[in-house]
Amino acid sequence: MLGVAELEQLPVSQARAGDAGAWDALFRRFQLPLYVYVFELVRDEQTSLDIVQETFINAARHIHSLRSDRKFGSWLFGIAHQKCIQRWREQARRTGVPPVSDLDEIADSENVPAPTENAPDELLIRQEEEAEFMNLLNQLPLPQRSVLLLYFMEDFSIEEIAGITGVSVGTVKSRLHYAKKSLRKLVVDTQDPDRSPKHPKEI
Amino acid sequence: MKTPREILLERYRAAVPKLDAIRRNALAAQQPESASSPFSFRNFLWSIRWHLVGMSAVWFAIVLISLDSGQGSQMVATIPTARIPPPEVILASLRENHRQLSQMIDSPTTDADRQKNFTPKPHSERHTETHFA
Repeated sequence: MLGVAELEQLPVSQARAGDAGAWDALFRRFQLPLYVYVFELVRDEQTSLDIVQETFINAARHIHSLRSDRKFGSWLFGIAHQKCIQRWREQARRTGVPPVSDLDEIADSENVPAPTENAPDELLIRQEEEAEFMNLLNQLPLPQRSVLLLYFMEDFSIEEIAGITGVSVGTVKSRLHYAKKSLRKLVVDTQDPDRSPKHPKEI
Repeated sequence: MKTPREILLERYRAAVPKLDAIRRNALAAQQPESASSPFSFRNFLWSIRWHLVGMSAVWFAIVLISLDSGQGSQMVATIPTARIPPPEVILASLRENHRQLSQMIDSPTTDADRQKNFTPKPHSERHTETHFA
């Protein structure tokens, strides 16, 4: 399955050639999704803005290390993810308190069924339940939240999410499964007739 | 009904102006050094322009002075002593110059006028004059 960014014609090759306009277009395309992802992990506006800026600067400096132009999105999110982990570790060193939940260190059971194959845009949430959706999302453990955000925001594949977060494919499947299970009562699967919305407003 | 993506993006839409500023910063930071160097060098030159003008004027004056004194000393040094005429010749030449100057300064007088106005001086005075010359 192709991610959201992979379906678009992103000017990655022009950016590689040093085209400032291409970089502007790429940054413009990813700035908000990247900010949402980072903010949902670090929960601090200024830190999130700093991380987004550092991610952009790093991406421009190290574009030569990107192997496939089609993977630009997941590569960019991978940089941001690593920056978040760095911040947590720096914070832990300063305060002497270990990070509440390090994304890399939480072990998940891999003996879980594979997540259902719905695309995120096939999962709809009722307007009156948006606040509850955000509430539930915030209550999810950090590793599950991270995986779910990557899935929702850019429709990254399991393999891409594994690459971004630096964990195994099995771990990503597990995290996604439990995260979706937590949200199941809100998320309406439009592909499943049994779970289709009952309220007229939802149609 | 909205997708989770739409809900999340909408929730953080207010951050877009700040993100725009960050994007511009990141773009400015990634300008290649080759492009930014001449600009900063030009700025540097511009900031010290008055110092440069002052220093240039000083150097110009020094060069002029050294050229001038160099030429003078060179002229003195290059005149061969063998070509310096004897004092009698110099005196004769000076006398001739003096005569020509007098001719030019005084009212134009011809030789005929000079003969007409000529009143011979006493012999004793003529002798003294010759002696002084």
